[in-house]
Amino acid sequence: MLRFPFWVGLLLSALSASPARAAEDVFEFFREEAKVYTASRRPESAWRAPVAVDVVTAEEIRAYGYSSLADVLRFRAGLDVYDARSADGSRAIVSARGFTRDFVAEMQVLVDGRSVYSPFLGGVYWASLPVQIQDIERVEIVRGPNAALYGSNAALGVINIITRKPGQAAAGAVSARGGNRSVSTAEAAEAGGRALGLRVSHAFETAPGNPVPDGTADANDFLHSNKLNLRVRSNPDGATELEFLGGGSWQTLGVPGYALDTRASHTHDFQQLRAARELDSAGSVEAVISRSEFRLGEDRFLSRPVDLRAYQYDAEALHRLEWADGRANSVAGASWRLSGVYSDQLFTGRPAQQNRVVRGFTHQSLEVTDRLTAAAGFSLEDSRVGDLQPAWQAAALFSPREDRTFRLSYARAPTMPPLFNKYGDFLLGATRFVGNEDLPPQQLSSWEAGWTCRALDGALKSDVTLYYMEIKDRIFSYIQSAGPPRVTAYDNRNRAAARGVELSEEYAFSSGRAVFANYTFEKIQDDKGPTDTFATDLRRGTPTHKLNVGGRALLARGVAGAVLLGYKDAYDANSSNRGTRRPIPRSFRLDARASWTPRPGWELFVAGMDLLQPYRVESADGTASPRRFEGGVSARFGP
Amino acid sequence: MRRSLFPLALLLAAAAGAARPGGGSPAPVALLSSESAHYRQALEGFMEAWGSTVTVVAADARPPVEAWAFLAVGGKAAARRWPRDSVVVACLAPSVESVEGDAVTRVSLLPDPAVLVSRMRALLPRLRVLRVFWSSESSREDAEALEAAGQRQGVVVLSERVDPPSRLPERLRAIDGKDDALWLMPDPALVTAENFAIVREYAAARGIPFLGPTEGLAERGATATISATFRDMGRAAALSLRARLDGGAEPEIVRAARVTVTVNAAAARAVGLGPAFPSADKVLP
Repeated sequence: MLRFPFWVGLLLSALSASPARAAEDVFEFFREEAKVYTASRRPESAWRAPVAVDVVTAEEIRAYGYSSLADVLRFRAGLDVYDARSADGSRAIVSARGFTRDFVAEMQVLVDGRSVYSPFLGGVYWASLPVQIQDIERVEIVRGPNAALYGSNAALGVINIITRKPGQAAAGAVSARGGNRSVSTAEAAEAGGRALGLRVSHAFETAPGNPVPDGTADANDFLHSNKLNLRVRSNPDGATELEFLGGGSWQTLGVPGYALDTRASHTHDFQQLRAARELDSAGSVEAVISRSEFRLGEDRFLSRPVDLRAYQYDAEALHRLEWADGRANSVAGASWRLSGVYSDQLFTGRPAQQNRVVRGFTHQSLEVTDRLTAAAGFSLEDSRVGDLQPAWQAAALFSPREDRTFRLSYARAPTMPPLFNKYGDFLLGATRFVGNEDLPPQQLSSWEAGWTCRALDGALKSDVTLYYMEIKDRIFSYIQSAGPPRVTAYDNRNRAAARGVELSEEYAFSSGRAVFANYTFEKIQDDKGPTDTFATDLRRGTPTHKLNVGGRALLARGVAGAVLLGYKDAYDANSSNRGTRRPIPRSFRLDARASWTPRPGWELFVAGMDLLQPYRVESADGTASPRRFEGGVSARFGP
Repeated sequence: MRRSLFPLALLLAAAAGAARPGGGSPAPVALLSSESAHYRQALEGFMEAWGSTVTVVAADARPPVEAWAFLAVGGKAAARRWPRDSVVVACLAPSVESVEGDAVTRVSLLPDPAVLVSRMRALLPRLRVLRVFWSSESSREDAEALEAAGQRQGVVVLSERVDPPSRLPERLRAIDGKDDALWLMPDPALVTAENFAIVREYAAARGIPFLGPTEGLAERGATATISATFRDMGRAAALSLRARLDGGAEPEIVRAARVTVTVNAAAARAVGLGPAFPSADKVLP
């Protein structure tokens, strides 16, 4: 028989009688687990999701004062986020698990379920997405493949940006912020009742942009941006929801690294209709149709003007069903997409290119026992650029007790070649880029093990993920002929592999007081390495070690503060789109914010970003991000 | 102690057996969502009021084929499909929103709204504006009943849906601080440890009484709780089932008859109440 010293027994009994344990019973009955939609396309507990999931809430966005989507994602585990300007005006790189390039073709990004991934270059124009920070309700980040549910290109991960729905009463908000690097304003108004609601929001920003890396001159990196969004919600009865979402963004920007006065314009607009209905039989149906358009114009892409128009039409229907007394959940759906691009310069001779995609998918989860859940998903997609492509994933989740889950999963996801890599023909200076019509899709396989738990009455959230991923037939560029002009083409006889660890801890002391820490280890092997003519050496393209810590606190008399500290190992910044590479030394980043709420709904704040150094260089774009200071005021009216 | 009663109840129930349909005195079968202490309290209350033990099965088990009168305890049990022509009373199932025709009677977690408002006024004589938060669609009916009860007793009930529940801090920040008290509906989507702490701190910082919907919350620092016990809800379920089996027409929603007011004296004094609490049934130091 085991014998414990007296003091051990005393300690155990003291712990078991602590208020937190006594109170656990009170909430056990009411406990409604935090819902995460993205992982299985149905609400479920974050700790029982079959993939690694992270959530950024609106509360965190406000408390830390994030002013861009890149900021929202910058300090999260497993993500690689850099301020980086591509040759066509993209202003950020966001990737997961280390595959950083100007356009990360393996990441799927959604705004309210609508894909904003650009099929012609394969990536996302983060800064010009028609979504405003003030509208964001939450951002759900799935690390790892989820193509069985979200289709091709959801290989490294899925980022789902969910915006807020109109409230049930008249309300409004205005804010203004300004500092040494930018000035911005935002306004929003909403009105409605139980049956109908409407929200309109607008945001404006103007920024002189970044200087060159030594800080001595302006890098022609300015940005003028306007965004407008509209959302109308109708609940004709308790079970049906109809929504219209529309919006646009209009931007003019400087493109650094080329002629000093190179300018570009980005215009996005979209319309989306969504209908959802809860069914009596513990299920629901949802149908979404959307249209979006992106126009890019650049007056001097090296020496010549470039313009393009890209468009996308989507339709999707989805059915969710809970059965077997709630022990089984099914999601099944079908989607259709038509995306295309028109550009005389990028697709010389064949300026109109299209891709039509038809897809069916299903995801099932079953509680085999009270402690064991099995989940599996499968998708079959037929498209012009990839022909018939399957994707699948499977996971086993073992919960030794509530709020603690051990996860083992495997997934396989295809990534379709961007239209430019397949059909492009672009003469840029003395180099001609030629697509390869025989390029098959990349195939990514991922094995993961994860441990997720909530402890201390839900105050402590803990998540560990270990993964090994392999990309076969990764697309790279090579010199087909020395020229002149030199011809650069694309091929994919290549293999890259990544392994890593993601560790995340978050502790909430109480309302508005929380600290977090996350650590990421990433290591990549790439068969092709630096022979890629676009200079992308993936092996050193990501910091091996990254650490982020942060905290926020509501103090006395309406004063609040937040601090973020990040560390990145040294790495080589790649710009595939510029063909440049730059070694970046290890660095720390410190952001801090203090605010005062003199009365409910009002806030005055001051903030500083990158406080530890006058300039930060984190990409190969020929710019540096300077230390920033800013202050501002915001006011909310109504409930 | 309660845990040890459960197998005994099962044993007794098995021995008692169940009457067949059409028999003189149909014995109900109780389905429990889990072995949680809360469900067992409701079951004990039910058996007390019923006057005998009953057959107890797990929510996902198959009940005896001859059974046609059921007590469903918890949402998992209440949401299952029921045999045709069966009589069902569900309690402790706040998230079960729809009832299947007239087959299921639901015992609400919310006590009689009129009694609730009346007990609030006795505890807080200056109560004029009550802010009520709720989230799930299944709570809408109770929220509207509370609004109506407040109106009849001269209390303005500002009922506010917080959907999703993560917006609670934002909603709290937006309110103008003119409320005389805050009330969280017994809504499973809303009553979490985190949300509870948020409201408790908000209320304490502004000196506003925070009233909770279940007794245990007073121990955690709510100013007071006004609630029916789970045992009483079980009793209400037994009375309702008996009435239905006797041919009476029961409403779709029934409520426990007894309401208990529990005051956390320290928390109450912190918001300017007391020192005595004559209207309280129980005062925690």
